[in-house]
Amino acid sequence: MLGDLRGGVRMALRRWPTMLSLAAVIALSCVVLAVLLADVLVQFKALRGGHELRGRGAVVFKPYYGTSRVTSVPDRAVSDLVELIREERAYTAVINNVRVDDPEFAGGVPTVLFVGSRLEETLPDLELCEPAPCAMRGAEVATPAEPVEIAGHTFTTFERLSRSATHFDAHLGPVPLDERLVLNLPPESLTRLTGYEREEAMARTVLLEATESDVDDFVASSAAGDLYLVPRHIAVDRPKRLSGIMVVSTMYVVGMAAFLTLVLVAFAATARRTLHRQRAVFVIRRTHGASNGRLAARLAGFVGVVVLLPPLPPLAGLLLVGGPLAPAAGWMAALVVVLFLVLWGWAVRQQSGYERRGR
Amino acid sequence: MTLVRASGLSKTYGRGRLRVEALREVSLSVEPGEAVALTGPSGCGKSTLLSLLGLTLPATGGELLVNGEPAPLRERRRARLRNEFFGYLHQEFAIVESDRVLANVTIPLEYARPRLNRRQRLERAGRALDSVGLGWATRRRASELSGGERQRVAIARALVNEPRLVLADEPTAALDVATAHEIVTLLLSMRRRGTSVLVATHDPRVSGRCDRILPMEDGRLAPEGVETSASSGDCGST
Repeated sequence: MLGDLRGGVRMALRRWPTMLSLAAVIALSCVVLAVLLADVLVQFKALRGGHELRGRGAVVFKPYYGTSRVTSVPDRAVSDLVELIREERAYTAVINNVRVDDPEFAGGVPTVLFVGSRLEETLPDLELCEPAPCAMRGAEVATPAEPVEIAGHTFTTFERLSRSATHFDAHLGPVPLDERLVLNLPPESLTRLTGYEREEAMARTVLLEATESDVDDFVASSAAGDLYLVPRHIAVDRPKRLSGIMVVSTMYVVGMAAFLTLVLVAFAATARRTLHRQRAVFVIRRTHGASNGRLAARLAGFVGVVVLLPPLPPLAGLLLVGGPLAPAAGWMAALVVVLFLVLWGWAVRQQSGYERRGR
Repeated sequence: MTLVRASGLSKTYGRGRLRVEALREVSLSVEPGEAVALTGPSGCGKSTLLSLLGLTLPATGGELLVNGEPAPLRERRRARLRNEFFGYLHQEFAIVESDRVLANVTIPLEYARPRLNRRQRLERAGRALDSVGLGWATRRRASELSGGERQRVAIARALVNEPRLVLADEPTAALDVATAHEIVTLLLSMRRRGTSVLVATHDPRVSGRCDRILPMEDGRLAPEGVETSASSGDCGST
């Protein structure tokens, strides 16, 4: 069987200039398609996140600063937010400003704070640890050597987030968590955060099923500390933007997939000519004892060396890179295997057809 | 023991209005050491009959006994039998032109059981080439050979596994008269080592040198075969 596989490879390599070009273009197309697919998968998660928030009548806030000085969010505003979170009518996150004045915090690993049990509900894919306080680490992050301390909590154990876990923020869009630590804090911890963290926590607050008076109270309390929050109803403002992003990404993927299809059609045409020229090989081998399986193995070598082998190493490389590229590379590798099987089956049918017709 | 015995063998291609009966109720047998010619016009079913007897095509009806046993249905057993029991000579696909001569002859040995190592394969292929007078051409590319030399390579390949029956489909069709004579002589000389030959041809110079002629027409075999003068004993020696 190995001899037949090698024979198929040699059959392809006899036309190496054509086959090498096709193999290179197929491999390149697959890699580009994987990268585009990664983007689409991330955007898809964002779209789902947006959908969940719309379904819950979520209100998010865009911050404006009334002064050039550091804002000072009043304790009362934070207490109100704590109460809302306790009542499961809000959640918040601190993504960019966790211990900004301490670059060595958590061993220098970027850290995200989540506060509020409703966050898990709107982003079920995250599979956040519970109950708070608890900590998790992204798939690409090792457990910190030192305990991580924040807001009176000390974290020594970190559960592992699933690969390519992504948080959805209404302003930032998808936030990949593979290379971050995630600290899930109880609501009362908000009062013990730094000024920068409290400011971001207020600005990233998501109110769920909020009444107009809830929104007004929240805006008014934060404005007292020179942090002016402009409410936006996700159901009204975001759908077009989110679906626009998705459409653009999908267009890239469709374009690239069409290109890959063209390349595969070119390969099929070349393979067809080659099989026609090489039909004597198959007739002679069958009559002298080659079974259908061994002839199919020969064709697997022929098709595989062009369609299957070249794209797999770069896709494996993308898998190792991790992040959102990993699942996309996995999907793409699966697609390459499916394409190989389809083309292999086609080649087997072509070859047996030539054998039957004898010309 | 009779090498192959076919009883009421039929082959139909296609279905419905596209249905073509290529072979209708053909019965024949080939005995050890015998040379039999299948004659008839193009399209009368000679090649199909060879394919059925040689187990490369399944029959749609009738019975086929190979070496006294029913022809196997499973592809792997059929492939094994093709390798061990039959040798083949093709008209159109005589050799793999892109391969070297030696590589062409080792093809049946690649599928031999028990497995042969590379050295054994090359030795046996070399001997087979010597036996057809092409020992000098082992390293040559097959495409560099003349038409007669190519057929001799094909004969060496057909013989390399020491088959019991060689099936030859128009082996001299593309050859000049002198070369054709030489190839037929070589082909029929196989009988000296006990190998039978069933040759499909419409060349009377080939069929006339065989023991029996089985004329075919429109997928049918004539009721009685024709005994030739060659059957008296000197067939193939000239």
